[in-house]
Amino acid sequence: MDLRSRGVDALSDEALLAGLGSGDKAAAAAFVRRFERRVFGLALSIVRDSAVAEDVAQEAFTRAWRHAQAYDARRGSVVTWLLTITRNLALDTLRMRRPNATAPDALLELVGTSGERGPAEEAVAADESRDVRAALARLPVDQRRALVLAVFGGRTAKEIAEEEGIPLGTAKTRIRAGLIKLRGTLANEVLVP
Amino acid sequence: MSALSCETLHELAPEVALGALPGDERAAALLHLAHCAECQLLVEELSTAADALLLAAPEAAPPSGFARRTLAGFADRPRRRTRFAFAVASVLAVAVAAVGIGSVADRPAASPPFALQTPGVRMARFLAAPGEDVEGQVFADAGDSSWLFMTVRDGDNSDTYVCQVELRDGATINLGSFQLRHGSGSWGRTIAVDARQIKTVRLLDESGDVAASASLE
Repeated sequence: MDLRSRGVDALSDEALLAGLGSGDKAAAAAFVRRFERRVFGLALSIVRDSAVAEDVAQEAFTRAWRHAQAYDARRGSVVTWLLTITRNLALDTLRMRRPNATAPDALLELVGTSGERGPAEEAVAADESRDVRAALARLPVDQRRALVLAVFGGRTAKEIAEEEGIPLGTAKTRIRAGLIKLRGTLANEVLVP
Repeated sequence: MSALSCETLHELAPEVALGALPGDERAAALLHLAHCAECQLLVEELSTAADALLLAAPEAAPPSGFARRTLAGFADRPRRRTRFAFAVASVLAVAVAAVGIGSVADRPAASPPFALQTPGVRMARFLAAPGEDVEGQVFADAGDSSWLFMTVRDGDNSDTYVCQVELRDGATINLGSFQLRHGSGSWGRTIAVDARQIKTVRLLDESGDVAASASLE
């Protein structure tokens, strides 16, 4: 199929990924264009260094290109698959370069849980991103912190307990309660299938 | 490594979904999930919410020329073609730790539901060799102790497969064998080689031919 003839930018995420995996140059370019802000933004949020984030983002797209056939739509959307690749690469990179370098406060700010995100910035965010941030903001702050540290900081419950100065059981409870509440909120908003 | 109960897995499910379990506990959870559809469903639901959290990260414009450089990188780094031919390489003495973490399961997860994995844990799908129907996934962790875990499905047969890994230096090691039951199974063990050095995981059939391989690069 000549993807150019169909206008690649109008294709679904799944179709673009299939085109990327098949080696179609137009699909590859459109795929990178469509997701580069999200991928780079996530990488930058975690590694906090533009040059390193660019390396991580490039590697994430390369992994997606090389392993496009491994994508399974039953396990999630293309964007979450791509962001998961990015997140793991960024955390691995951070741990190799600067173990324990990411401060909890910076992690919390990156998802707007400290309330510092301006309305202009929020207005241009994708609807699904706004929904997730809103759901996150509804959680008690200690549960938010636990989830953010786990997802964006790659922390285990034991590490969260140590950083927060709380018992391990409390860290586990915060993680559990936060994620279960988040699941309920997102499901009610039909964001999560 | 002791088997987990459903009750314990339910307690751990949020940490499994968030990738917030250390390697040994995660391996035990994976082993339980390979057997238990109910717990799989719970972890899948929580994983969907955990994955969605990644959408909360702010977007940011990459430096000028990012897309061009990324696309050029595709051309510079041609995709590896999966090598199905059995390459006889220097087979090292197996350096496998004595502790196996699992055996064959009756009902493996063909597609473990958790997408958000612990950093350092690598996952790859097995690609079947021509004429083969083997499918499944393999996880490799290079934490405090390296381990491999895999789920495999192959029609309805009860074949025995040898798990062979190829290291980055080209050496190959046979880690052990396992038998499918009614076309499916899961297997894993701790290993005495650094999992980060593993380039490819292969399943060899009883003739020594490659039935499937998974690239961990």
